[in-house]
Amino acid sequence: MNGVYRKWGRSVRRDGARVVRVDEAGEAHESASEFRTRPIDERIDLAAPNADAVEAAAREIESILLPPLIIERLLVSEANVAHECNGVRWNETLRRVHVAIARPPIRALVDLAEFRFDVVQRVAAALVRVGGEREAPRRMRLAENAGAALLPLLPIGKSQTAAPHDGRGLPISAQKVEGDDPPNSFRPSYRLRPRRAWFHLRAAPFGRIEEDAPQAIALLAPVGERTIRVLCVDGNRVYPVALAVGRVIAARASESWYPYGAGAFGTELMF
Amino acid sequence: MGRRYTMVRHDELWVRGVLAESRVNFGEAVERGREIAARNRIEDRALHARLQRQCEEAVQRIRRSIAAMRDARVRYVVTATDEDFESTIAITLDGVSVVSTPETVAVDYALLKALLPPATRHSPPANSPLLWRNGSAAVLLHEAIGHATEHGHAPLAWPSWLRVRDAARAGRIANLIAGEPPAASRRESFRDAPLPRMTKLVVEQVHAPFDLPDGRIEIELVAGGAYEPLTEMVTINVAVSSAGPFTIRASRRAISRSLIGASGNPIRYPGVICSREGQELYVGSYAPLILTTELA
Repeated sequence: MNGVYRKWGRSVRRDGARVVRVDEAGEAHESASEFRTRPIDERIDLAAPNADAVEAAAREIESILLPPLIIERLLVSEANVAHECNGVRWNETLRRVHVAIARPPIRALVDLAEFRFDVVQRVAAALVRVGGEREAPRRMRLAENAGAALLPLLPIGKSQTAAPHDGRGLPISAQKVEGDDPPNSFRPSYRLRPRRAWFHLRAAPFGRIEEDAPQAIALLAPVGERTIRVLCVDGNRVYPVALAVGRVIAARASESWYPYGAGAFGTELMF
Repeated sequence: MGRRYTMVRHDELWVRGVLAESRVNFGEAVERGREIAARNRIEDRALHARLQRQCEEAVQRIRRSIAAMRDARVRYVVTATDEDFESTIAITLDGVSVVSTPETVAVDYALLKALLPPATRHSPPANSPLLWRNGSAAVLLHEAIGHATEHGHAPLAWPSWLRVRDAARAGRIANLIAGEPPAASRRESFRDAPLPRMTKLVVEQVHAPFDLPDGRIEIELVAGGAYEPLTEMVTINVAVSSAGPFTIRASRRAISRSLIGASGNPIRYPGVICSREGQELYVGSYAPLILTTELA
């Protein structure tokens, strides 16, 4: 694939206590054998991101995460981005939240693509009550934010959701995920060679989610190949669990989009 | 006027003698209080030109020095800043890497070739003392002492013969074993917030005991390491040893009790790329031969 891709971005992020504003533009030249990138001087009109909203979101999260909880890492950002590839130019506004919440010896990870606080509130309330590690219960469900992280790796029915542009400016069509050769390209940065990926994954609903089953509400470590470590709420008890990723007996999609891979919609799962 | 950081970088990936990826990057960041404003433009044109020239000259030298490495994957990163200049070259053969510099790349490539191929993966060897060769103990102590100081963890009782310091630019030294944090704040790029990070970890011994035990495992190269700040556990993935590759997981307290001897002057270990909070930085690493008990 030959071509030139250009990207312009203005972002503001709260990185711990610091506020980092970045204004940059660059291009990537790609041929069958080589991939080259460099910054570009050309500037375009791009609105400044909403620094007040970023700061307010960061403060809201900090107000939720009080001792004995420790904010190990907090990233809250907004970016206005323009892309150009194959004669197509498109814009987007991205919001991201990453929080690592520690209650030693465990840490819960929360990743969001919007400034909402319900997941952080719920995880914080559970972490305050967390006990020692237990065996995984026989039946267990995953909350949509935890299931979204797992969805790209699960061999269950799922589909790609339509969107106007992939990393080469091509339309993303709605289709069932089948085989190992996704039709679209994902390009998280102009400095990275684009790779084939399924976009905006959505689980095909099946089975019945048992609403009274213990629920994993957050990841305690990045998703592994065969097991995940999660924070489980089981009635009045809260405990960490290592869950073997086994047979999924039910799945249900939500409308919230999460920044895992090239995007995944919230997915409640029943194991 | 805030504190300004200016950077020019050129990195390339060569796969079996063929250029696969090439990236140029430059920019500057101005720090005022808790705010950092960064952009990929450098106001001082003369400075930009000078840093760019430094990078391009280094790139030409490195290209010549890696031209013969047609069996390897080679990625080099050349970074010139208003304060510093750094070139690192990562060479990968059969999935095992060393990280070198232009001055040492020929020696390190020869070392890597001599040590390969690694044996198949093993279970952690039980009850065998470990001899950390080639300066590889610097990786163990980078995790167990260096990262612990970055997180403000209390110092432990280490053997009285052990010295561990971080040597940063302009002669700044931190005594890591005493719990002092790294001597410098560093960042991967102008886009990143600087953090207290190690620059050059130097492990030394003063009159340490050294009795080579039978049945020891000799560690030559390490694939990577990690420090978990919540549990103070260290993980070391040994890539090349007399027992093949294996993984060590031990608390830093257990590591502090495991050191039983050392010999000689610090040896340069070929490469530590340290990743923390998404920022990858090269850390120079030196350690003498070190003996530890078994580490589960």
